[in-house]
Amino acid sequence: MRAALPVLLLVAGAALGLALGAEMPGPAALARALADAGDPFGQLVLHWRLPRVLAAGLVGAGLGLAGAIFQGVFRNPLAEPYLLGSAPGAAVGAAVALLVPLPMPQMLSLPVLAFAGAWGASWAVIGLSRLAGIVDAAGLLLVGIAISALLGALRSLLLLALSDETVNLQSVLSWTLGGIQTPGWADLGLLAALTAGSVILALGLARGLDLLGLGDEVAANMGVPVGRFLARAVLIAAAITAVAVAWGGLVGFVGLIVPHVARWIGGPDHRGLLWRSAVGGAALLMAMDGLARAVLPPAEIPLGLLTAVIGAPFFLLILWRRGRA
Amino acid sequence: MTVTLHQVSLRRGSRLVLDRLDLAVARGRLTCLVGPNGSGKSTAVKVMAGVLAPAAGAVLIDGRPADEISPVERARHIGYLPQDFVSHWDLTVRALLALGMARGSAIGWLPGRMPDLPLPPTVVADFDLAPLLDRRLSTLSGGERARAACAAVIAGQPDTLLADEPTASLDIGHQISTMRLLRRLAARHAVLVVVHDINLALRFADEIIVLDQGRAAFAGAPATLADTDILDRVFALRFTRLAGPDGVVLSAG
Repeated sequence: MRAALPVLLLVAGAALGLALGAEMPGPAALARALADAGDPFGQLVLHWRLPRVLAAGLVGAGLGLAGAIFQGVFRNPLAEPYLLGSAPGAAVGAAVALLVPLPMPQMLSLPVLAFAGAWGASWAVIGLSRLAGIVDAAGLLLVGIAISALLGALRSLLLLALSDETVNLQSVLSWTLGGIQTPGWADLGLLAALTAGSVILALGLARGLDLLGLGDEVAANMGVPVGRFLARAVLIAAAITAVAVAWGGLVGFVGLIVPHVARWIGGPDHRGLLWRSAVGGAALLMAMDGLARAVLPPAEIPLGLLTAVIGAPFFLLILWRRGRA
Repeated sequence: MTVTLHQVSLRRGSRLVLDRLDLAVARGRLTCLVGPNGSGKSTAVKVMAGVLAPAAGAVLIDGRPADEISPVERARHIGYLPQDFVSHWDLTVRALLALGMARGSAIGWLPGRMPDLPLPPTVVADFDLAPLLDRRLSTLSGGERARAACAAVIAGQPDTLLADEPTASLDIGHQISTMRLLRRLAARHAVLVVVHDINLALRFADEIIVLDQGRAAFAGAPATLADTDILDRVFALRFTRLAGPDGVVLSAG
């Protein structure tokens, strides 16, 4: 049962993602469409919806992983890529890649610049908190919120200053509100490879994250090089965030919610937690992306708006539980 | 297996916390570190544990300078139980012990297979943890949690155990059972314990080291210490020496 649950979740998420949209087939019609490539609706599902559902799953897996790593390394249950500056930093990098003509293909420049932004912003938050002598969880988040606001302003400025007739401002703007574009198969393959690498590198952090939970001093005494390990964890989490942002835009709160639920379900040990966060994030985002297509057809609601509607109350719920504990 | 501090000094701001301190713990002995607040006990233990680096002097592990030994190898030699051990994550006792057993194994970039070793039965038995293994830390009493924490530090079989006030939050019964346990551990490990209760130290220690303003004012057998006026001077108190069943008992006044 334990082993079947993640598979069930993924299948359910994917099924919802495939079924939801402007056209909503029932289970029978969906199965027929998937089985018969000649079916016109099957064409739509296979070539249009399936790659997008897979992309949503991979982006969601990355957001879940990045959230679990940030929460683990900062021992901060409210940490997540958005609140710690990593995702807003990635968005600035991505905005540059989208708006500035660069001598490299955008498929490459987008993830690379997104990574540079995510990594730089994460260290800006960590560095400024250290300079200010902040050691508590709330202080780190406040610095993260300040940096995120600054980066958000910078991103808007870039959009206003750099967009011209050659750039579709509408598409860039909708990307900043979060949304999965239907990728080509090559693009999807790259995203899948990067996500697989993310999972492997994240799992490599599991024992170190467990040990950090015992406190820096105990972790150091057990043989964890605490400073170097933090740098590595931030590097990996920033890279994972960058991939998610490059392909999914700004989709908040998934990295916050999913590791929490994963911890409630399966306990705090990071090897299992990272797996469950990846699977849970994938399932959640596939379903949410379907919902984004289905709520106001034929228009799409930006995915980021939808996750915020669910995520913000969840954030408050966590605060409330902590306040009462 | 011996861990030695050789002429170790350490400053916090303008205050000299450790002042050319010499200190040694060796296997087969229970060493108790006593002294007034601020005398440098916790700092000395942290320097030995490799958590703090000394400003001057050397930490020697079996005569080798500790900074020539990798943190991973050092972890195999020295286990450290801080005064305020808290696990941020609400682990089960079993998971906590499993983490402790991984002491001193390097963390690679790729996920390695963790050997699924059985928990060391002596540790489970010594700390009486069998009925608690599947409980989460948040459901344990203070005494049970202290036992689990100490067991996690010792689970990876370090040669040396450094424990900073393991009896601090315990009632008198648990203080005594903890000290008995540490005495038993001292047969196989070198054990250094920071204690505030002089009488616990006098009753259980093989050797007592008295710290005063970052220096060792005394190092030797409990009975010898009780015969001197060193404690009276260091704590600025007059102790009355009473005859107890296990030797001298001090009463402050």
